[in-house]
Amino acid sequence: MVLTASLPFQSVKDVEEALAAAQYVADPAGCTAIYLSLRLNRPLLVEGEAGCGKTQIAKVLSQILDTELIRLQCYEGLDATSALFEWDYLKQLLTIRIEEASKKADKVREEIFGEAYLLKRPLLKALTYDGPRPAVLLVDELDRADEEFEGFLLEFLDEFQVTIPEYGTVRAKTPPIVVITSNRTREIGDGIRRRCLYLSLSYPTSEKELRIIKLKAPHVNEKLAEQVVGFMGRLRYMEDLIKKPGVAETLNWIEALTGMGVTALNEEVIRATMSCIIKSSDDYRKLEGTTLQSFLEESGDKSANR
Amino acid sequence: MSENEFYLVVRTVLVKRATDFQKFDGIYNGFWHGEKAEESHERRPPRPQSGRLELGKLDLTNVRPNDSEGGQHDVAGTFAIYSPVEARRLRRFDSATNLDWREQRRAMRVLSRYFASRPGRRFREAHHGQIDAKQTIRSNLIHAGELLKLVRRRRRLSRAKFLFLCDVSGSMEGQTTDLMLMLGNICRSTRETEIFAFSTHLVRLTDHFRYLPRKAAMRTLSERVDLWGSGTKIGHCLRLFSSNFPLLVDERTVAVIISDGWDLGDIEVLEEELARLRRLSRALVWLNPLADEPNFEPTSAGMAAAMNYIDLFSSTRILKDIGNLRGRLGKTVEMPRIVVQTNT
Repeated sequence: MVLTASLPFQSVKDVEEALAAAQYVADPAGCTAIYLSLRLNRPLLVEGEAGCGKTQIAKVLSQILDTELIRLQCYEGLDATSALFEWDYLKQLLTIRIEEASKKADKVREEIFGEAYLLKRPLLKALTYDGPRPAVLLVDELDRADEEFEGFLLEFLDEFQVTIPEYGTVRAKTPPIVVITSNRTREIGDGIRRRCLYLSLSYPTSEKELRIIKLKAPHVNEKLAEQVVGFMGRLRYMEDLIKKPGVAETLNWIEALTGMGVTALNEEVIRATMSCIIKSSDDYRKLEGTTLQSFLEESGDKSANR
Repeated sequence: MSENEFYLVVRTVLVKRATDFQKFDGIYNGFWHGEKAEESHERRPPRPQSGRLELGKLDLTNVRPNDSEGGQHDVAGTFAIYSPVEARRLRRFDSATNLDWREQRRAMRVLSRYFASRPGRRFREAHHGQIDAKQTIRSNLIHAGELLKLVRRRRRLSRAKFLFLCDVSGSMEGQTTDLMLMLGNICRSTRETEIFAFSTHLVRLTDHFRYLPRKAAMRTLSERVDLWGSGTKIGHCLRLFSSNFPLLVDERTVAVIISDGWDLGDIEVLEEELARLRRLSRALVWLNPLADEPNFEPTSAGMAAAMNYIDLFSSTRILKDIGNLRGRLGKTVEMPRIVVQTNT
């Protein structure tokens, strides 16, 4: 078990407090996973619906630890050259041209494969990051990358070292803190799962969502916040919705409502501001045929019972 | 450390999938609190010894699953052979030996390359195309950086995805076990495959096959799905699919319908949905298990209507027989309607 002495957390509770101070509301499972991942130096794999705060974990971590956030956005066909390093070909060519008269070929060759000609991509940047604390490496939406890249990442996470043929082996002084996120559009392989600690995020409970609103938008009318949270809960409960609204949508919406001077939800207001929460034309049509007032009443009953 | 904390630590370290949380809870409570673990679908049903011995005396083709009981039928302590669950399990042993998994995997690879349409993000070396700076510099270092030879590259085609919609109604009874085995194998060996079963309604089986090992998947299939052996409403089921899973079909997806075309539903709905599926997908394939028979003609109502919309019509044999597959793709099939673009 590797202890990272420079980390300011001694217990799960410390993590929880630090996260709360950075305006991130996490449940005990989340705090435990984050704490263990820091403590054991293991990557953290975060899965869950869009807009639940997966990426935010990495951002908040880098903020708390006061270190750099290095982000690798995955996409289909992402390969080693765009994730790891690439040589600066233009510079290399220019150097060859300028120096071919004065120097010998061997010397030029040595020079153009030096560090000055190396373009560092996120993974290499995270390895060579030189700070009091390791960098936070966010591998965002790994499910979008293809299997080849997953295999490559596996190797990287195992060794935390990279071999560049012309340059040599680069090893991390302090391994970065790795957060991997996935939206589950494709199943992440077992290899990655085995090496990571796992955290699953889903839509927050209404209590948690209220707390998030209070933290992120303290100026908002409390009554309105309760109504909004109740309505969102009911909306997510609709099974045939293609794109269920996440926490980000809730925050957007409540900001919009407050900006418009709304103090209580009603059918008219919801229809007018639906563009904040519904992001698909199919869903739009589905909601057009529903009476939203009944949603409000249902969610109102629920919060009254609570 | 409180117990809840301990629980969270153990779960975080040991469990790597959200779908396993419930199973973990059952085992955890069973271990620490002596509670009976929740009924998990992985659990092996008790196997009566006599079940197999009776097999030889019974005509298996007459064992028909009973819809309403399929899921909950209790096999413990009875002659398992009378239960649909058990009958299916026994038939699985019969067919498992005939299938060559590797051959089947190869067949899928041929198909996914054949239908590959969109340039992927990765490159391969080519005679024409954009210049590959990295390889050019590398290969010209031998001339001290004088660029004598240009290396070029092109986008590699990305493989096609597959969506299987498999008919499991009464008329398909004879092939169902075999097909489920094949589809399970395809689902496990490829990443981007979706499997659905339908008869009068629709069930998504992708996760079932993906997360359970082969034997467990086959064993528990009849518990998961309660639509074996009923009538078919293909059009209705396709409509269910398109309204519930609209995002599963894109221009890389080959939609494969496996059915004999005996349809009790509305033919108009079927045509509408086939047209829609064809419009959205890379290609629409219909595999009919009867198509291999010498006198076969697509005369059943559903089949006749479908013939106008499908790009490739064949027997289900192409899923496991690569020789047959190559022959069919080479000869009888017209070029896919989407023009293959290889330029970057």
